[in-house]
Amino acid sequence: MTSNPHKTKVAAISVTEGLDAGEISRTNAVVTAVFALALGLGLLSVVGYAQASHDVAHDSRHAFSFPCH
Amino acid sequence: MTKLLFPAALIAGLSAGLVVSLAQAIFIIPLIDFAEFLEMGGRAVDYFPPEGFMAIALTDPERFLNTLAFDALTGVAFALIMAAGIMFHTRPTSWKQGILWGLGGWAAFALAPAIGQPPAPPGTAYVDLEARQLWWWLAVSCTSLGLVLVVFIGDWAGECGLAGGWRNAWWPKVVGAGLIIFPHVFGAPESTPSTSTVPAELIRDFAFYSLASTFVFWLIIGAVNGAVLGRASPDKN
Repeated sequence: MTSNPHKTKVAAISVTEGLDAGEISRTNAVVTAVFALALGLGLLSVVGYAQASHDVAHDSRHAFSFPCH
Repeated sequence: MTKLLFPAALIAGLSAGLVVSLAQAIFIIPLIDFAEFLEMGGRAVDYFPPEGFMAIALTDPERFLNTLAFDALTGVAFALIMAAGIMFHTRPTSWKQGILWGLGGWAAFALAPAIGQPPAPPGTAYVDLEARQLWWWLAVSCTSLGLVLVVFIGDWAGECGLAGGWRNAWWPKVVGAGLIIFPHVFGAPESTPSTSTVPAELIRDFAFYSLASTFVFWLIIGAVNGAVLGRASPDKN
């Protein structure tokens, strides 16, 4: 019986992928969470603190008790 | 969970923003409107209030829509921060767990700053804006970090494979409690208005409705974030 070189290759790749999948997904989760945190804090600064948006954001800022004036 | 983070934060933030803006239109904007009338030198007896949500939405739709838009953005901002926290925690979640996250969010982002700087309508507290903004961030970050240390340190110690001694260590909880107390010991900048045009009763009502509406707002953010993120196990993408 001759071995099929393609099959061996495919098996090798899937084994490597299997080993890395957990690691990759964990890194993905951390990167996504860091990005979401930065985006949330950036958005919060604009909504709560940017002087440029003071007039339109006025009532929201008072209601959420961001220091406004 | 990674793929669900942004949908979760978007749905949670928008729904909480919508609900809180309705609550604000009914309970808070009328108080702001009255306070501004007094601030401009008007006399209380001359004031004719816009009553309730319909009045604000109809008589001043622009004001209502501005507030709705900014409440929605505020909701999404807080929901993103919370969803990131849930991801870092790396534990399965649910709407019930989410409510606990909501309580924590309210404690850190609404209650803690309010202890030193109570929510105030226009016409009060015009002392040193920059110092009060800095203290707001101090209160928010210390309380968040403190709560994380008190509540989650054991889970993370386990996650990082640290020994059992770490998992049950008492000192992170003490440091956490210290962080929570610190902004209040340090003290908020003087924010008593030198000349307030607004009666004390209005200021009290305003603080109450502000904290009550943000309480509901945070519970919605938590419950929705928890419900959506709970649809995936933390290890799955």
